Amino acid sequence: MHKSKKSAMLREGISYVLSFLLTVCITLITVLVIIRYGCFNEKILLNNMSTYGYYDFVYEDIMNDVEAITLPTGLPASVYEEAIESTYIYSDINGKISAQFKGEAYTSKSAEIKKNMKENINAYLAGQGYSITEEEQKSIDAYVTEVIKDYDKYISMPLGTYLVKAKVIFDKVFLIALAALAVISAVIIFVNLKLHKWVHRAMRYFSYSALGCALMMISIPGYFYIRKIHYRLALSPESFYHLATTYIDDILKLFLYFGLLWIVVAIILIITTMFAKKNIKKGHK
Amino acid sequence: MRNLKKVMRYIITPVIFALLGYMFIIVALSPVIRLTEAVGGMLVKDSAPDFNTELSIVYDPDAHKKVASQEIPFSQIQFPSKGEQYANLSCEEIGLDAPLYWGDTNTILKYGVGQYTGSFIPGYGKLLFLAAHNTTYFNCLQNAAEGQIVTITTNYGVFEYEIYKLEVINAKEADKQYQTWVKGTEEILMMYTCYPFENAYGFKTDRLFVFARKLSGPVLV
Repeated sequence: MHKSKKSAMLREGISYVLSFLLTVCITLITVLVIIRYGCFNEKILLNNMSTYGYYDFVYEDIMNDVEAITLPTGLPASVYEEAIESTYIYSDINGKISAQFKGEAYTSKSAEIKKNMKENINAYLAGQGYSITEEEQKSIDAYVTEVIKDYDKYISMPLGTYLVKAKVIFDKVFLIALAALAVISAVIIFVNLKLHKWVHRAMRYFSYSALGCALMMISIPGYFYIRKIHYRLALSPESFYHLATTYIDDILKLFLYFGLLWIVVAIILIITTMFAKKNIKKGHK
Repeated sequence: MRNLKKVMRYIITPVIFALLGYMFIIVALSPVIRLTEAVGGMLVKDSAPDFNTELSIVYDPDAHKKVASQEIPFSQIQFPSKGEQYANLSCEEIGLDAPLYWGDTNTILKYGVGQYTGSFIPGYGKLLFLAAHNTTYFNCLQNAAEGQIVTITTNYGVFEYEIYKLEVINAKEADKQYQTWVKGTEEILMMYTCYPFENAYGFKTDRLFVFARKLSGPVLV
């Protein structure tokens, strides 16, 4: 075989290997960015809850639970219905998540609800002309404490706690990994450009990498998004189930959007390659 | 032909890169993937969870009239599922007339009398453990007395129980005693509710237990 043909084949082989490595690098960079600015994004989580009516689900769950707690007490529903406002739930959940992401403590409206309930109960009993014994006061206090415990349970937002903990660990490796992958990608691009006499020949391999990355971004996340496997997660209560599944939906959509973005990048590279080749041909004429 | 080869390269090469890339990820992250699979296997079920809390009814008030035998094979009865009304509970003397559901969730107790699923259905020859709120369906138990007859009507027969004891027991004590009651070999109907009934607001720590033994009704064989 001619030496020039051998070296051309060797150059092509090395270019394909470098192109594959570039695919892996840019895919990992994209995944890291999606996780850091998508999964651990407070605004996406809050927007998700607002769009999918999470607060209404939580309000319904709380009211159903408190109704069941209240039934055997002999007290009317008005003692808690007028005390637990839906605006409390909205501000407590949002406040809790924001505080978690900032690493701060948060005091919920449960003290206010407790005060409102006790006032409502006293007003009701006074209206009935009933004076309670010390023992009854204790059991009423136990009832109010149980209602507050239930309220706190529903606004506790364990998803926010887990995300913040994961974010702290992730942040430690994110910048280092991102920098390392960026450097490796830059070296691969530089070497590939130096391997070829003509720029358009090297750019061909970059477009393979962009398309390979797009395929990886779209194929498996797309499969999960279409099959809705995450909708079979055994999570409860219903409010948390809806929050988790719609949140996962949004993250999968991010993967698909980035996949489309890499397709656009590949198209731009292909068009640029075509123009570069035409210019060279014109130059030779 | 040459152009077709170039176009095919733009399709085949990225596909090969994607497949090799996934293989690389699977190999590099295999411990994490195995852990995720194990956890996912526990969390992901065959279908989406059902949050429907609506109750259903399998009870037919006239069904028992078609059953003549006093010995009924298990295979001939439809065992109730959680959240199903499978019978009716009544006692004329105290004005008790309530749907009886299998299960004792908050939703069930809103709409009727609930039966603890760790107890047994009528005719089995063992304990039936029923609960309801003292402000609703079991409010009439405050008028219960020894000698009164409680009737459970199911699709497969009518069962009568005679009240022989009423007792107020602390709820925590009752939890401990349940293990003894459920091991009994006689068909006993136990109905319980919060106590006292009136002039008492808030949480109650005591329960009124009404004990009744089987008088008549078919036997499940």
